[in-house]
Amino acid sequence: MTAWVDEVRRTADDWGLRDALRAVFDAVDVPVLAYFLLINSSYLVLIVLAALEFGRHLRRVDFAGLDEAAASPLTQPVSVLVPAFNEEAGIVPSARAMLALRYPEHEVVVVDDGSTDATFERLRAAFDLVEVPRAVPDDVSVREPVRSAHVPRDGRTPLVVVRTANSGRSDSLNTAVNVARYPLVAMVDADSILDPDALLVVAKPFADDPLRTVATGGVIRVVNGCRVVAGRVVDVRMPRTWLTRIQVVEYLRAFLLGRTGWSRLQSLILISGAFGLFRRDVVVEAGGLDPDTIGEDFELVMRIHRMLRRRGRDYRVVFVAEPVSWTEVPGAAAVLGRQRRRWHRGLWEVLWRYRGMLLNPRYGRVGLVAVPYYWLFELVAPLVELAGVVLVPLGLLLGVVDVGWTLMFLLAAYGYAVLVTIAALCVEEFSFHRYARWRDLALAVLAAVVENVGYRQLTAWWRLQGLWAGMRGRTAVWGTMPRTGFEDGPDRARPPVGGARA
Amino acid sequence: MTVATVLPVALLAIGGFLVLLGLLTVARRVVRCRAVRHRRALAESLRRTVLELVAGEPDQARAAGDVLVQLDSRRWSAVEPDLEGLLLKVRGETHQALVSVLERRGTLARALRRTRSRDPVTRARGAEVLGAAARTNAVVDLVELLRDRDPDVRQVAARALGRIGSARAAEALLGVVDGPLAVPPRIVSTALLRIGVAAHPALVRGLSDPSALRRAVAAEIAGLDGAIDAVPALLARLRADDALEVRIRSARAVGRIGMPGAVEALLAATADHEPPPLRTVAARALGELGSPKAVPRLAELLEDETHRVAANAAAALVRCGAPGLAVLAQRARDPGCGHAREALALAELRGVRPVLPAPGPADPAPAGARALAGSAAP
Repeated sequence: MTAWVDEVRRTADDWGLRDALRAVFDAVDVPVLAYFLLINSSYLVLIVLAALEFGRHLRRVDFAGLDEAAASPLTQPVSVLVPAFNEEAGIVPSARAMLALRYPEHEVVVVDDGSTDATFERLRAAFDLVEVPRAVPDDVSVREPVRSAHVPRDGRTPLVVVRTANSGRSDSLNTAVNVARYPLVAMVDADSILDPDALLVVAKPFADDPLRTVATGGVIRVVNGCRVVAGRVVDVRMPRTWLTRIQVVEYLRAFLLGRTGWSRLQSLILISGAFGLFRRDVVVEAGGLDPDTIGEDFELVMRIHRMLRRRGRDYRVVFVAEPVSWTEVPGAAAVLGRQRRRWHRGLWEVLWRYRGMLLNPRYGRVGLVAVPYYWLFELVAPLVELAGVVLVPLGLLLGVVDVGWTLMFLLAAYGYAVLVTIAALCVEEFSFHRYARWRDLALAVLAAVVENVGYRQLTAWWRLQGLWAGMRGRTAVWGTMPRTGFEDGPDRARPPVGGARA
Repeated sequence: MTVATVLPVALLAIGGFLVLLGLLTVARRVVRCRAVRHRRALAESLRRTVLELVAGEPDQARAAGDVLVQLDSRRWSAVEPDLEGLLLKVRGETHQALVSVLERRGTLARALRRTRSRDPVTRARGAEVLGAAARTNAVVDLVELLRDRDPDVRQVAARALGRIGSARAAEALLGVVDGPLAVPPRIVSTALLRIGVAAHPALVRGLSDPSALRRAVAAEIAGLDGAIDAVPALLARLRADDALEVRIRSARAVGRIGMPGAVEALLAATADHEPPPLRTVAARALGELGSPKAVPRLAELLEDETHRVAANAAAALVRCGAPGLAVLAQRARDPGCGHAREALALAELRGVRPVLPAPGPADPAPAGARALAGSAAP
């Protein structure tokens, strides 16, 4: 033992710090262990539920009738809504890919949200756009009116580009809802890449249960590292950096398996803004997206739940595991930090706004299971994790906790977290096995381990900052994001459930 | 039991499960890769034969069929799923040749037996194959499956009956759009559409069914399939059905069928006291009829407070030809009538001769529209 450690311990004794810390450890060791056990076990339960769902889905996918839906005049038409702000790098291939989706009848509505780059000029050149008068209804209130509307000169391509002053993503989507002509609206990020059958599959629950289904969400996967040709992911690979590799397994665990599990429990309360399909009339009835909330997609789904439960309506919000929307994840720590701060702030804002639903039997499983879960295991998680990060080294330094016991505790807590992620990888291998290379599988396993060394602690810190900013009610800032097509950079996908576990 | 005693046990359990999951993952990948390689190799060796069956001359196709029928079970099981998949992609003689091979090999008889399996997935797969092969002798069994307890089986059975196209199934299909073991209306409707003219008598009867949902589906399909013999019943439903949904679909149907005699009923359906969803569809249907008699009423609807009614009226006026375009051109001068300007501009893009109003000081036409007036006309 070095002399300075002894000195520190003597000083701590003088101040009564060691006794205080010992008392803290005595008080919290069992609750904290229980918390780790519960949170990881809950993920494991969700993964098991997802595995059951995938098994059912994959056994039946051969006779799902997608080809018939693709050719049927009775398939409900869809308006694909794409808000775009400074998306010059990728907007044209993105719009082309969305127009080329396999679906009997769909239109693409791009809202140029006051871009200061060449987003609109690129679209105009690529699709030979001409300005047309457009009578836009005010079904949903918007802050910025439509300045101009443009359609391709050929009069056939189902694309509408409307321009507004910059008013943010939510307001742009509200404008797009007003412009949309079809009964279903798909909200998609401009930098998302959809699988060719994405619309068909995500719309299937609406065909199967047309009276009850009000919203469906599609799975989000990470496009970094994949080969993209003509707006299609043609070769799925792991990214090149550890920061993005870790996000791959995080998204797999959270977006794919977590939400599938919640959907099976009929308690899905979060549909990512990167890829969600809604009944237009329900969105209008709910009042559209809230432009003042940073977690606008989460807020919309919560509002729909609350509205329909209060009105006693029988409805379903469904998550569809395949096919997928591909999105870029941040490749730089600073960008990731901004993203996670914003996500967690949004989580706080929405949970706080809908605190009346917490443990309220009026809202069924949503109020009794999903909302409490989000409070306990999503919102509070970074606080618990960071408390551990501070207290454990302090306890070791002051000699308050036994080194062997601490090591075992950490191994158990993080080992269980790794186990959960490996379980997710196993389910992926048994179900969709998108990552075909052995190397990618090995990298994913390694990422599941590496995630626990630094990444989790860092994201916990960012999330705590977001929570603090939200609680203080500071003005939310999206920040600007230079885009370079399908390279690392953007940060628009919604928070994954379990994206930053305690 | 204390935390200290639990932790070592927990660590052991976690380690054990990690190893187990790792082994499972690797084993799964190895097995799948080997199976895929093996199946690909077998299918590759038979690709030429399959191609000759579906794309060869009649003699070649017959010979290829004989080869396939005589395959050993290992090679047959590799190629059978491909042949089943091809059933939905080919027509005519090629389809017959495929069905013949599958019949001789016992696949179709097995599919029929599968429809009685205890496993819903097996039942559905059996029904899928029978539908793809258009087996008329399976209609009775498939109709039974329309009331299966598993929703996916019911859907597959409905689709299969549609592919077979038997008139006998039409009544049964229409009967399962509601009730506790229902099939989604879109699936039933698509199946009825596939049956086509043979289903028309069932549709006409369906329009008088006590169930509003059945009447609505019958009306929808009657319109989509151009069931002229259903027009009187459709007009009756449009005028006086208790269910709004039935009236809406009847309006849409008479528009699609395009019977000029429906104009009066549709005009009545656009009356101000009627529900907006009905008026919206009726306005659109009037456009599909394209009758000049509808122009005055459609012109009134351009200022309707319901956005969709006004938008559909404007689009309908375009389809009414010169009288409708003239009204639009006149109304486009009104700053408050954006629908007229929008309909004219879109019509112009589609090659309809533009009849744009001269822009006045209070009504500046968009630059693009003005430019188009001189450039886009054919």
